[in-house]
Amino acid sequence: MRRVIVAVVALVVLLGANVVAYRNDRQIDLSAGSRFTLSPETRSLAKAVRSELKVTAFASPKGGVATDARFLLSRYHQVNRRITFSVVDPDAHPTQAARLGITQYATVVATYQGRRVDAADVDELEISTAILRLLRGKTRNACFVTGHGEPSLDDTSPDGMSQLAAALRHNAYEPRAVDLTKGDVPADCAFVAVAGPTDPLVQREVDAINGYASRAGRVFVMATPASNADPNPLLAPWGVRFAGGLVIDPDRSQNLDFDNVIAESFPSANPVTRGVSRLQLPAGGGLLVDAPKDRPGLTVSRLAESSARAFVETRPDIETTFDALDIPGPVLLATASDDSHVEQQATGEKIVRSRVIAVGDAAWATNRYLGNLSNARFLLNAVNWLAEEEQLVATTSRPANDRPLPLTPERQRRVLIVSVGVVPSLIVAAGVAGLSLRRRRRGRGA
Amino acid sequence: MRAALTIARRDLAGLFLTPFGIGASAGFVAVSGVALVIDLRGNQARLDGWFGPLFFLVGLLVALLTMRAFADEERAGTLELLLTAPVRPAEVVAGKLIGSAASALAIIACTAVCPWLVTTMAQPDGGPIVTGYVGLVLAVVAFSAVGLAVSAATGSPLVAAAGTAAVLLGAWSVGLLAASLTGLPKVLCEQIAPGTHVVGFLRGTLSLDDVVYFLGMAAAGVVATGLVLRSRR
Repeated sequence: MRRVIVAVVALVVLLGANVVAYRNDRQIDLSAGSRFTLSPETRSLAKAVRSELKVTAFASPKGGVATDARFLLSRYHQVNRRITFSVVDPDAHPTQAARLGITQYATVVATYQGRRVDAADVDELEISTAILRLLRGKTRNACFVTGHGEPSLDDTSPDGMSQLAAALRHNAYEPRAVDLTKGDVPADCAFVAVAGPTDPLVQREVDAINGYASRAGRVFVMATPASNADPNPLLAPWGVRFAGGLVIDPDRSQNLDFDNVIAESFPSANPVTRGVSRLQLPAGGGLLVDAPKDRPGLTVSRLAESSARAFVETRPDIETTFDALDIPGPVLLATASDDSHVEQQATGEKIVRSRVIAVGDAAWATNRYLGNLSNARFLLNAVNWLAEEEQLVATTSRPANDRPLPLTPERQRRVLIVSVGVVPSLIVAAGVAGLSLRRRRRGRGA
Repeated sequence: MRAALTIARRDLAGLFLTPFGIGASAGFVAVSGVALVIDLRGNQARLDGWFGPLFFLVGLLVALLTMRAFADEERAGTLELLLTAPVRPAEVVAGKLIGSAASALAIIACTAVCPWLVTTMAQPDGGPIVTGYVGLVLAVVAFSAVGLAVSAATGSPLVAAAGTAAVLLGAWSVGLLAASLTGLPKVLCEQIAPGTHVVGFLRGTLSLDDVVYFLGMAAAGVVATGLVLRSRR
């Protein structure tokens, strides 16, 4: 009887201790940068979720990304059980990936109350930003100027921009065409995009966009080289000039196609280039920074540059070799202008912030190229920066967990020789020596 | 306590000065080396893919080590001598637990060559290596306590080893069930399975929930061993 009581008491204590530890879990995070500990901002955000929020991370099972994703997402689930998650291998479940339009690894899809927002990486900042945008509960308008030969947002051909439109919809933006020949920029536009016009905008449109931009507006200009459209009237007030021509980069281009430039240099610390490793910018023109000195609030970030050997060919229809008429590299390929100043208003002082992003190319955002390299990431970063959603969650910067170690045949041989050969052999040798010593002592004793 | 340490010392020496102990040690380290090569095929200097299988293999190693604790003594006819000696049952259990766990930890210590090899080739995150070994120490103590209870309940070393392996494998398998469940049953299955509590150690975190789980398992094993021995006395 006494034994039964002891067993029951032990069982109850054991279960109780586990339940208490489960409900009041605390942890010490020794990983680099404590990357598995949610910041206080993220915890309060997760607690604010009131109905089921489903997070699906598409990650390759190789290399530990999927297991890291599962562990990180379980932290969100611990804070709020309404946040559920799954980690899916897109290669093992291609139909699910296709249904959600997943084209790249490490994409996270978050859905909440019938709305969807994608995150471009499985890290706390990206996931928490996606959750915050879901909780905001509203879709913002992305206004596209049309009527000048721009690629269509409905066009699913390689030269169309249907994938750009889909990417925006997956991030709580609704693409919408606007006609500025008859009126001003609608007040509900999160930003205005001039994406690849081939015909010039009429003065009425230029005035409407410039007027909107100067009143804390947000403009995204994707220029088109070798066309009649001149983006300079839109860019000049923001310290940027479109040099036109064609960027030729013998060092960083796809195959031997020297005007199909691969940008690998991102000199600024602007959030637009966060997580962007390489950009493919085919048949683009160059940009120049020409900031007026009497605008102290205006800063122009050099987002992407070509290699030093690149140049802007000013006569691409005649020749493509560097000469005195060309502009030497490194060539500026994309810029971000931010003009902030304080205005005295009836309610007090207010910071007025205008933002303009310029890219000397529009082909990078078409269906043919948007899925390549970091182009899609750059697009969404740019849109979020324009809409001031780039720092929704103030988490501390975490170091990257990429620690490459290519397993060469030499390294594999070394690991096997030491761990499978040398150390077990030493154990056996020490054991045999110990055994024979013991037998010898016993023999002497006998 | 001195009696417990004497029992532990005798078990420890008894293991490493037998062909079985030498073979088990060398074999475990060799398998850990193969596991490292498989892990490094991800071309990343991270050891979570190495520690993961090690936790599982430690269960099998402990099953082999603890079968000797009581079942082997009974087969050799020395258990009766041990139980009737002027030593308290608690000291016997503590001595056997220290002996078994120390044997397993000595073997695991030899695997430190694997993280060292990785640090000579790249810069792995040190946190998960520290917590991985902390987790292995906790798992060894917990699994050893379970193994002692099974070993005390049977007179056959083979049955003891198979029984311990079955109990531990069963616990791991419960975690697999959780994937097809929802709600409270899912949480329960996850909490019972060692696999759930290993993940944090692999990522570099020391969680109260995980530590309490393994300490609780160790306590349960010790209490069960004590109860079985009392009934046999």
